[in-house]
Amino acid sequence: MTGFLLRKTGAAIVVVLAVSVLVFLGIRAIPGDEATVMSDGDPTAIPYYRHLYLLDKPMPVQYGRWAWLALQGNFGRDHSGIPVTTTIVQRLPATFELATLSLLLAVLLGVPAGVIAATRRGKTTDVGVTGTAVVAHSVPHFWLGLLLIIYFAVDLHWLPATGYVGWSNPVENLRHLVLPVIVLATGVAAGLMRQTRSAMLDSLGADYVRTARSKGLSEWRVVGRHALRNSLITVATLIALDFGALLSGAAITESIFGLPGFGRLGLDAINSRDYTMLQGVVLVTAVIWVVVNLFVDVVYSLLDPRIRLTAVPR
Amino acid sequence: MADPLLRVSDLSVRFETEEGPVYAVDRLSFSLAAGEVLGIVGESGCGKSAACMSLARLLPESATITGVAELEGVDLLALNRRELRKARARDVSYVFQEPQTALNPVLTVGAQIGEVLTATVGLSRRAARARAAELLQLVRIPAPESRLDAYPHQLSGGMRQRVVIAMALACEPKLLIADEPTTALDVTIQAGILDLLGELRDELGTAIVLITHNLGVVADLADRVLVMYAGRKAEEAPIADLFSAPQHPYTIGLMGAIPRVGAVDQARRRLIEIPGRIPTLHTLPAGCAFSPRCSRADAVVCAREPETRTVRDRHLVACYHPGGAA
Amino acid sequence: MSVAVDALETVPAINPRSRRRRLLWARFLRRKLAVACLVVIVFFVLAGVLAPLVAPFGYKAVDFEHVLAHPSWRHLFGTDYLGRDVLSRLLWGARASMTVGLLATALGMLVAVPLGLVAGYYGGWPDAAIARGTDVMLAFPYVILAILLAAIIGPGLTTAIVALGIAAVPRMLRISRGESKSLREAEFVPAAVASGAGDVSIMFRHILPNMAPPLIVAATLTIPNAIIGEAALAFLGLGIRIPDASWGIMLKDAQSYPQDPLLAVIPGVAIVLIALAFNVLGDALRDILDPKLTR
Repeated sequence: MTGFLLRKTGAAIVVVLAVSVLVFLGIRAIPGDEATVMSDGDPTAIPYYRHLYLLDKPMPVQYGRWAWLALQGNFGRDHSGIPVTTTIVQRLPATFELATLSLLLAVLLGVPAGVIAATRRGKTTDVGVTGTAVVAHSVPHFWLGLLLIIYFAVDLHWLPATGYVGWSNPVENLRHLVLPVIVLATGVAAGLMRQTRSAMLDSLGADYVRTARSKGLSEWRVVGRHALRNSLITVATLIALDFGALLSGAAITESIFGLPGFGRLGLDAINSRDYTMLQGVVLVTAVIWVVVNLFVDVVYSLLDPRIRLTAVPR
Repeated sequence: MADPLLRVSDLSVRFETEEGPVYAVDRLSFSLAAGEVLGIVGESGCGKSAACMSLARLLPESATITGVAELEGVDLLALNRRELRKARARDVSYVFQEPQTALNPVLTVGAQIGEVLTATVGLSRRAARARAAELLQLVRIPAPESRLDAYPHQLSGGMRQRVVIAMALACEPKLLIADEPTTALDVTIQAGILDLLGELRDELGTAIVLITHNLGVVADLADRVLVMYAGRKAEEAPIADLFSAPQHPYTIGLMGAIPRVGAVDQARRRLIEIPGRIPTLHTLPAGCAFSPRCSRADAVVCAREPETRTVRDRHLVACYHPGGAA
Repeated sequence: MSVAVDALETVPAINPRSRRRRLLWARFLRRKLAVACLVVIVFFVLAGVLAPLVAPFGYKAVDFEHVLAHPSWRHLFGTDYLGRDVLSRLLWGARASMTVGLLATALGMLVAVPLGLVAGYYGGWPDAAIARGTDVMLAFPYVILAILLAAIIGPGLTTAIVALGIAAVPRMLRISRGESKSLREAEFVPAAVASGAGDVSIMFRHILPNMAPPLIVAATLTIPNAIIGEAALAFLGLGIRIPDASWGIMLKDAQSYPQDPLLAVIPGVAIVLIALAFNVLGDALRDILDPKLTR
């Protein structure tokens, strides 16, 4: 198992490095640089800013400096002088809460639905559940958000349309999150349902399930102890991956519902041409994803005895 | 035969396919006495697995099973779900071909053997564990205690198959169906498994149905042999009789195709092939299924299926022109 | 007595390929749902292609006399806040969606298929390198990619296509690599090697055709994601720019006018319909092309 983990960690490091290089080059490729923006039309100020932002040094040096600072958690300052790191850290909790609640709802809806659909394959229940999932998958989540806002917030005034309230007021906090969570959970649940169903169908069709049936075990045991156990490993990793995706990709939902989350930062940054901020945000997004993936690998290696234990020497 | 343990009459298994219904097993009948080993032999697709899986009702839902299969007077095919589960647990056990995939990779060996005992027989955890160790000993696995906590992937192929056999014997079934138990194993391990099955038959008195496409395997272990072709019975005889005086042209062909080491006229001996190929079940000829490949085929044979007749003592053939080598 | 033996020699020779094609086509026609989906798709494609000819109004044509109008005979779906005809913008929007949907998927396939072929065939370090590359691609959600691209080359159709294309690569790469790897072990590969075929020839003439079915299914299922993605990017201002019409932009406009819910409902329903059609078709294709069922 340690070999497995070492390899995965090594791969993760390589990926983070590659990502950082790409992000760096990507930002550098943007027409117009920090110096021009900051000097605000004053040509004499340009050399000063170029020196300040190290734009007069060769690329590898610039990258090195940036990477070194980034490793220490320093992503520079945005246009208003606030350290990017501070803003990012400030915004993460909201996104985290949104992602966690959405994932919870999605798992509660999607996984049991997938299991039931698999056990009743081909029958009405299965068709109904799968059909619902396909439709949910075809609905753009931002459209769903729009409709929910129009109906529940503007028309009925039951729930607030936008905005966010911190944990100091739990009721209001949750009220503001109901709609965004529903929006995000729908898409994730649809995917989870189909993948759980698929994993269960694979397990149910496997030889060892046939063996379990031939032993005269009750259907509950066969499905619960044998098929589900095996599928759960796959499903658990999927859930973790969905969490990572929610963390790094909830931009649109946060934007529509006016939530001060991390996902939105990228959008805000590009709208205000704040490329230092953008650089930090893109890098952190990618790193979150890589870290979550690594975590998934670790969990997987713990759950699957084939990886956890190496062959008994004879 | 004095009251047989298992009596199968007119067993048919039908599958619906896109090209129409197909009979994987067509009106098969046979019996098995307690403590007897019956070998069922035939090429892939001849229906031997389908027939036996239907006894334990392990076929997919798309299969329609008709006929009667009485185990000690109780028709296995007519049992409801609860009774079927009991029968599967206590009376009929099935050993599958692939030991790698027959065991659940995420559960320990002890857990898998034990669960039948705790669930069906109602033993306590500890008692089940002890019994599991006993069973591992029975199938000649060294150091059984230490193996209980091992996972399937930590064992070799031969050992896994022994574990599967141990699982099958957990509740002392009256009938053990072994479906190609050695096909997926090395030749050197095969002999060990076959010996084990023989010993178990002697020690426990379990009746065994041994399915295989390998006549050599059957020669070692079986008391009687049933040869199947295209879902139907071609020939059935005591083992010695089958080898010394095969009657059905198909059986004769199979014998001729066995390479024999050290035969007297080795230089001039060619492997005799049976011409043609196995028919697909959609395109069976009207009469005898084997007729397109048979050198004895004539108009009668091609028109109507042959009845099964007794040609010698306990030796049955389904053929219009049975007899020694052509 | 030799009658039966002679019969063996007169087995007619049927062309296996045309038989297979007819079998697949028959299977497809039997599934009415799949046929219905295809009809819907063709309808939308035609709508997009013929939009310039069929749309009653130009997509830019403003009409301040008839702002936010309800559906009428003149404006079948009403008008938006600038008096533009919703139906016409819907038809023009179909153009954008179809274009981006198809091109992004095509771009994804263009990258994923050769890379997957190579990764699965050679294994070793090319495989590891491509796997890491996939990880890198996966680390960027398509929105972030679009943001970056928009910063570099400005928002627009190209940005959307490239961002969505790259986002589509990992999934298709996984399939093409998996297929390539398992097909490499197939029997016809050593046969081809024995007859002197080179690596490239084996990959493209032998392995690739056998990979086609799951890739076709994957492409069919990627298109709806690309269409929804296009709408999302347009919604955010990263894709198609105003005043061009896209369903995403229509939804963005609708956001500011919640008093007229129809403006939000109609483009969304269009997206759902076309995405649903592709998704269901993709699932049906998966069943139809299942190699376990074809002989």
